[in-house]
Amino acid sequence: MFRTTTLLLVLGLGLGLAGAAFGGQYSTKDCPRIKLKRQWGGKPATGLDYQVRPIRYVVVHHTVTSDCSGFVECAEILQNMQSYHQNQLNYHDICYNFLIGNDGVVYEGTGWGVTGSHTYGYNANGTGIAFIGNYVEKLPPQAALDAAKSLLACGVKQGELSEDYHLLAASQVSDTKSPGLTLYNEIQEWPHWLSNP
Amino acid sequence: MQGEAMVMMLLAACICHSWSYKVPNVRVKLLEDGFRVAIPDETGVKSVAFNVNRNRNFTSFAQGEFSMQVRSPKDGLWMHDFLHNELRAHDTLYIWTSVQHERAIFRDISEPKQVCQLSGSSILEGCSFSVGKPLPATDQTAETATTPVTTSTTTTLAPCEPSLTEVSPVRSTSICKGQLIFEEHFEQLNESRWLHEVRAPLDTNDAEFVLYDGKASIQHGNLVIKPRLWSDYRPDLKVSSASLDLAERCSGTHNRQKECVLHTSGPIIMPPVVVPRLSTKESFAFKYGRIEIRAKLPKGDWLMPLLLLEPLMEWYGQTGYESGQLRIAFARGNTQLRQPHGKILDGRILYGGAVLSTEAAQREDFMVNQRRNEHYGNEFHVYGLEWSSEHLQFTVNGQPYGELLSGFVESDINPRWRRGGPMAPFDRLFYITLGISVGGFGDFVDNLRTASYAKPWTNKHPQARLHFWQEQNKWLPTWEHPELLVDYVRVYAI
Repeated sequence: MFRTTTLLLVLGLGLGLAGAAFGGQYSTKDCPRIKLKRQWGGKPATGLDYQVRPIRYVVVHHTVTSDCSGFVECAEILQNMQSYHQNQLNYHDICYNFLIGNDGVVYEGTGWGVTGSHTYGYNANGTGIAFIGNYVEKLPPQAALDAAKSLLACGVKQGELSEDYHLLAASQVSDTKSPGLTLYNEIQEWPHWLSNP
Repeated sequence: MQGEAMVMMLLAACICHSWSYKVPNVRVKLLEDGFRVAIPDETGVKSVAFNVNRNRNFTSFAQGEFSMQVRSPKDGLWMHDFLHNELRAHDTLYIWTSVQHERAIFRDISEPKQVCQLSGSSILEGCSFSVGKPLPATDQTAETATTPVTTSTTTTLAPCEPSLTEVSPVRSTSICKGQLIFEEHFEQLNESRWLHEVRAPLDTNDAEFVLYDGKASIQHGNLVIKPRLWSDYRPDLKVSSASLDLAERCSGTHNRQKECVLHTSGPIIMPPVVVPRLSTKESFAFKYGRIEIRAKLPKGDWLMPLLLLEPLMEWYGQTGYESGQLRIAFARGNTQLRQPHGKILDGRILYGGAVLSTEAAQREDFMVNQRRNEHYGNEFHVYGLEWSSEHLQFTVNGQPYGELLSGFVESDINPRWRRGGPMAPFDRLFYITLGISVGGFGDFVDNLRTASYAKPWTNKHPQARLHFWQEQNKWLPTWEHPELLVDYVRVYAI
């Protein structure tokens, strides 16, 4: 009896903490785990352009780096990427709004509501989501695909994404192979995919 | 035709409607464990974001030390509580706000906010004013000369005449007229009081040819600020081809790209001279008062002593001299320096005054001066400035030599000064800076000649710094006494 109560208490505490840490002010029900930028060791943005909500487009990318499936491994990739984007390319921040690791963890880039620099023409009114790795020849693991889908559902629920948002592959609207042909085939099966942008 | 006009009008009405929103002033309230930022809700507001920096101004819409997007209003307010951080009494908050109104984004940087002037600041130690309360006797070391001797039977305190002077950090006791509020004798170098700046000058129109870095020293009870050549500072890096990232050491807050990262490219070389620059930015600032500095000014071609008061919060703007700068005194280091028609500009002339423009030709518009037969740097003098809400009076060895009355506002150099009082921009807190600058475009007009050569650079020429450096064999031998020596700095309340 005693043991069950403790367990429940611990569980409750854990949930409460998770809510506070990841969700900020919004409800975190139906949302995937998101590691915030400060948690993965990211630097503050040198400039913030807030977007008009809700967002109309979601653009899917891959990062063409090695893939990763652990916190430390992914964080290192993200830190290097942010440093490259900020210092070499002179972007305000890491270029994507979110990134997804192969273990199904979502990493915050510029996050919801802040303009990224992922796709020319779709930065101000789009959210760029990148799968960490190279997906020309293979698909990301199911955990990563599920995390992306649940991030999108969560975005709609929280009012970040328009209910009738359009999903695109970067290769449809710019001169790039991103997110890789195999992953591009996959997302054509997803709801909201737009065949003729 | 009429239809077209109608459409135009409708269009105009639409535009006016959607552009009529103005970001309201952010209200900040101190909490036990942090602070709350808020703006009132209005129809059409969809979301609000706040970015806040503590003691660091925003020069772009960058992410703040505190940053939060708020998605829904609560009780008629868009607000957020930043918790788990304690503000200190002399902190200043810089805030920018972004608001989505209908389908448009509006951004606004609000005026800096002093923590002690926020609502709820009474909970902070060091913010309470106790106007008119006499000072406790223990706090009157400075007053010994004027305080009547206390007898054994009665304790008479000097009557405290209320003062115009304000200081930061705010003190718990009231300030009396005539009271010594800042004193530094440089018996040793107190680095928590004097912050050493590490930065390149901002790339403004009057940028001087130096890098501010290195420590001042103390010798025989004097502060010694000594310029040195780049080759002495970093023998491992060539002045003509190198790059240097000051990184964590950099103290620049305006534009880190320009102040903290140096690299050469073509004719752009490293700053040929490196010199310490100290300020009380983090420890002491005042508004209105009398400052006295006993100093021996540097002698050597193109050296400029910096005995400055600089704006603490840059209330009226952050570029150029939008918030003003006061020069307590300077005399150019050159022993001889003339304009073509014979006007003398060398170290035999002492100047004091206000800098409001980056242009060398306008530098003396708000300056007073006094001419002597010998270089002011030959010996120690006491340079003074009395700064009140009505005038700036400059003195040397106690003798006034010039006065500037208010009237900076009328010059219309910066329209924002109209928002301040008659003395604007000199009606805000200023801190003390000591240092030396070399060359540059603001302090030396073109076509000058020393006794033996012409000024080696043309102002605003892209290769000015290079030309200056290339003529080193002409100016370096004249640096017989290039140090600035400071015996003491005292500030009195008025």
